[in-house]
This record gives sequence, C-alpha cells and structure tokens, in this order.
Amino acid sequence: MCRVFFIFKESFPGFARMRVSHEDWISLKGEGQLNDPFLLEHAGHACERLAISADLEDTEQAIAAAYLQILSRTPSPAELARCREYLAKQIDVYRSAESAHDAAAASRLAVTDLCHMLICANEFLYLQ
Amino acid sequence: MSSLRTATQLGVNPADSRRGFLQDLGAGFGTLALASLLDGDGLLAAAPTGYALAPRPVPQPARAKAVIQLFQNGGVSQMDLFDPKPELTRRNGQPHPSGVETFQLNNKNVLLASPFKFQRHGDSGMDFSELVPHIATLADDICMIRSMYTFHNNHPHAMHMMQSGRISPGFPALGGWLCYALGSENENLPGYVVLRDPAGYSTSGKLLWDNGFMPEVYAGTEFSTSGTPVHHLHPPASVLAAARSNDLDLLGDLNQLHLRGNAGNSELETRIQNYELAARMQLEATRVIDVSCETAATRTLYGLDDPLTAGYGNRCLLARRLVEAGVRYVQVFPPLEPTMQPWDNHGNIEGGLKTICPRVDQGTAALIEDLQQRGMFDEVMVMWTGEFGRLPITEGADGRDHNRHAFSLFMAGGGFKPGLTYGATDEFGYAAVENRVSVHDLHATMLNQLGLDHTRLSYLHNGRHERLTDPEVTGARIVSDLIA
Repeated sequence: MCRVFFIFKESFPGFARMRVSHEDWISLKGEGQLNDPFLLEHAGHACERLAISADLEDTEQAIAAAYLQILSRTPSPAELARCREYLAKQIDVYRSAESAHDAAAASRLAVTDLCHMLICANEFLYLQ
Repeated sequence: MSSLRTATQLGVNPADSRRGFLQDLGAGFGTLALASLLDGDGLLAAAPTGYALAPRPVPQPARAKAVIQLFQNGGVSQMDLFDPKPELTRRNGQPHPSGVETFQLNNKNVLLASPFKFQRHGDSGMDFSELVPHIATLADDICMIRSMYTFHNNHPHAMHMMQSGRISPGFPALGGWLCYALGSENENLPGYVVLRDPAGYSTSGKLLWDNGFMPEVYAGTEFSTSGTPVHHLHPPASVLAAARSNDLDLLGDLNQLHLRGNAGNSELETRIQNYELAARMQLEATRVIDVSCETAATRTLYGLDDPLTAGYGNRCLLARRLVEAGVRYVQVFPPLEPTMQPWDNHGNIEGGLKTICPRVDQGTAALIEDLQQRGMFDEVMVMWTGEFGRLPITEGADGRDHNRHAFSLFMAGGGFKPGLTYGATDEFGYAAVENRVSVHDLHATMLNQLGLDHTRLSYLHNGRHERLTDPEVTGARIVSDLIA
C-alpha cells in the first residue's frame, strides 16, 4: 500500500510533503507511473485475475471486466469503442513483432496493457 | 494518424480531436495569454499549441531571460564571508550595547568576532573573507548587496519568503512565476528544474518549489544529477515502441473523456501535459545531464575531479547546461555538510564554515566564469543567497544564531551592476541600516530585469489577483541603484 502511495504521491498533496528517500522523489508525474516496474507488474496481476472470470480474447468482455475491476464501473459506449480499437492495435503489434506465439498470448499482452493504462488514467487517481 | 477516426468513434466533432481539445484548453488555464511559438526555431516548431510552458513574449525590454539560483540554505553568516566588521573584532567578548533579537535560547549577549581574515579584491575593492577565494576573484563581476533583510528568523518561513515572497507555504515559487509569465524555451524540458544534493532535502523539502495555487506544471521538477535525470523516464526494454505509442494515445483519450466531466480542473489538465512533456523529455533530459562531452578544462574549472567539490560543482555545471538548453529557472542547492542546513552554524562557526565553504566556493565561481566565457552572462541572472543572516553575538560557546535583520547576497549577470557593493549594516552587522533591500524589493528588481512588471504580473486565485511582490502590502519597489 505504501509503495502505491509513493508512486502516486504527486496526486496526494499532503503526502507529497512528507520526506522520503531520494529515489522516491525523483520521478516526473506521468512518465514515472507509466514506466514504474511495480505498476507494470501489477497490471500483469490484474490481467491474471481477469482471466479467471473473463475470456480475454472476447475484447468487449475483457474491457468491461477491466473497467469493473480497476475503476469499479462499466465503460461508456465511447470508452468501449476506443478500448476495442486499442486492443486490436496492440494485438497486431504483438503478433507482428512475434512477441506472442498465438492469438491468445497476444490478447493477454494487450489486456495487460489495457489494465496498465487504466491504472495510470487520471480517473484512477482522482475521486469524483 | 488515427486521431480523427478516434474522435468520430468517440462521437465528438472531428475538429475536437485529442490535440484539438488540448488546443482549446487555453481558456482552462485561466489567465494565461498563450503566445505564438517562436518561428524559425526548429526546436520549437513542433511545440503543441496550448502548451502551458509555450514561450510568451516579454511585455517590456528584458536584460535576462533565465535565472540560476544558488540557494545556500541555513543562513549564511554575513560577517564571516562578505561584510567585514572591524568594530565587532575590536569589541570581541564585550556585551552588545542594545541587545539583539534571538531565535534560540542559549545566546549570550556577547559580541563574537569573525575568526576569518578579510581582504579587498579587484578594482572594485569588494571585501571577501579567506573562506571564499574563488568567489573573490569575481569581485568586479558580481553585485554584492549587504543590506538585505527579511521577515522571519526561522528557516522554513524565511526560505518560503525568499522563494515565494510569503512566509508560509502554498504560494508559487519565483521559478514558477517566471514559467507562468514567460514559458520555457525548450518544449522538451521542464521550465523550472531543481538540482539538490542526493543526500536529502532542506527543512522544507519539496515545498520550496511548490506550484502553490498555480497549475502543477509550474512546480519545480527535480532532476537527479547523474544517470537517468528522472526516475523511470525510459520504458523498460520489454515495452515495444509501437505498443507504447498506442498506450499514450489511449491514455490521452481516456484522460480527455474524464476531463470533460471535470472541466476547469487544472490538476487534470496539467497531468495530461506532464505525460506529454515526460515523453518528450526522454531524449533531451538525458542529453542535457550527460556532462561527458564537456572538456577537461571545464571539468577542472568546476572541480569535478575533486570529491570535495564535485557534487556541487556538477550541479552548477548542469545548471549552465540546462539554461543553455532553454530552461527558464534552475535552482541549485548546496551539499548537506556539515548538516542538512549546511550554513546553519549554531555552534562551531569556524569549523562549520570551513566545511561548507570549500564545497561551494569553486563551483559558484566556475559557473559565473563559464557563463562569461560562453557569452551567456548578460542573459542569465545568477543569484547566490541564503534565507537570512546570522547574529554578531555568541550562541553557546562559538556559534551564531539566526538573524532576519541583515544578510548579504550577491547577484551576477542579467544587468545587475558588476563590482557594486550596495547597502550597509550597523557597526556589528546586526541590522541593515543603509539602502535597505527587502526580499520583495529584490524580487521586483529581478522581475524587472526579466522584462516583467512586478505590479502587473498576477494570477487570479480565489477572486484575488495574486502577485509575487504584492506591492501595496509589502511596499516592494525596483532598486534602480542595483541595475547597470
């Protein structure tokens, strides 16, 4: 939990005023979160949890499950359309780069990326 | 690429694409008057319109376009470095005739002479103690102000005063004000960069470069002084470039959709811009902090090969490289030796100053000399300052307590008069008595040199046009005597 606060510290004004180690301070808002190994790792965990109850090759089902797990709501039609387009592109990238040996593996990588982006999204950080 | 199609899919006007939406955000930044980008400059040609750090025209003629602040936190002892007091030496051990305002409880009202020898330097005859032989060689290049005073004699409050013109946190720092007013000249770097000792922070930590009520893009950004400038700046090797590009597009679109439900939220707007800035920084920031291309002569000048001077010297060199690259404001902090407030000599004033001075003297002088050699001295203003001064009486056995009534600082470049020693303190160095200069006066003068009218530079916050100097309240004025 503490690690999560450090990663997102820029979003917690009170917390950002605490004194922590050198390494924890040296991050620039967005990119630090995008590239933080901790978040990448946990995006993978999120995908694993989704795979228990959802078919990751069914993009609509995967998107809806990811939104529910990470943002506690279902996606709007616009978000669903945008995420569907995104997953198609990511799957193409992984297939053409031969990062994934089959369609299922490519889908898994793409959904992991989707989970990562939802965790990095402003909505995840700002309560309404 | 796909932005128009994406916009259509999202059910919005194609002109209202992600980029177009960002362009429209100009109004969302309140009072910002976004200027056109500088034409003819390849670096700036691709800068996104609506970018909060886009360079803006200077409202009046400017002498400087960037600032390097060398912040000597802790409270530099003026009577041991820059302001010799023969009467203090003569009456060493005698009581101060009228008593002084103290901060700590263990002060004796007994005058304490400086243990250091002073000498006049250069054609100007500026006085320096033996502690700063390198800075002393700049006697004819710097503008020494001996009559500074401030409003609080505790570190956090006085540091905030020097940073933001207020004694409490929550207000933007000078660096943020300059970025708000002038933007930055390099779209691939933050406008306000902070370089500190990796060992830690001063007593106020990150609050010193806070954006206060302004959007977060005007906060100082810390750079590490070696290796990767910003933590996790680069994606892991396993992340494919094409996949990351899709990531950023999606993230941008999702954030824009979220922003539509939170219109006018500057934090959200700034986070979007920070993502974009961070992506652009990957190459530029790494290039700027790589000093391996500097010559052996430059390394020697800054003392990079001596462990005693290397840390601060490296930060000074990076400051030069950053302003050279177009960063508007760079703030350099000293080594945290002997303490996290390295100039805070409550005890053993002699030992404490002998520890910190050699660590900052050479780097400071090297920076100014380097700027001169590169023809940047006129355009870059260097400010060497602490937050307050120290008392002429003894604290404990051999220390000096805080003193808000007088301190010395120097300015260099940016049109400040070279070789000038301005103002004076009383016979013991306790209080500024002649040509007194407040922190607000100094801020007003600095803004003037940067082409900004301190009475007009404002940011609307909670119905009040906030200003750095708040002149009707503080009486801030431009000190024309300081300007060449």
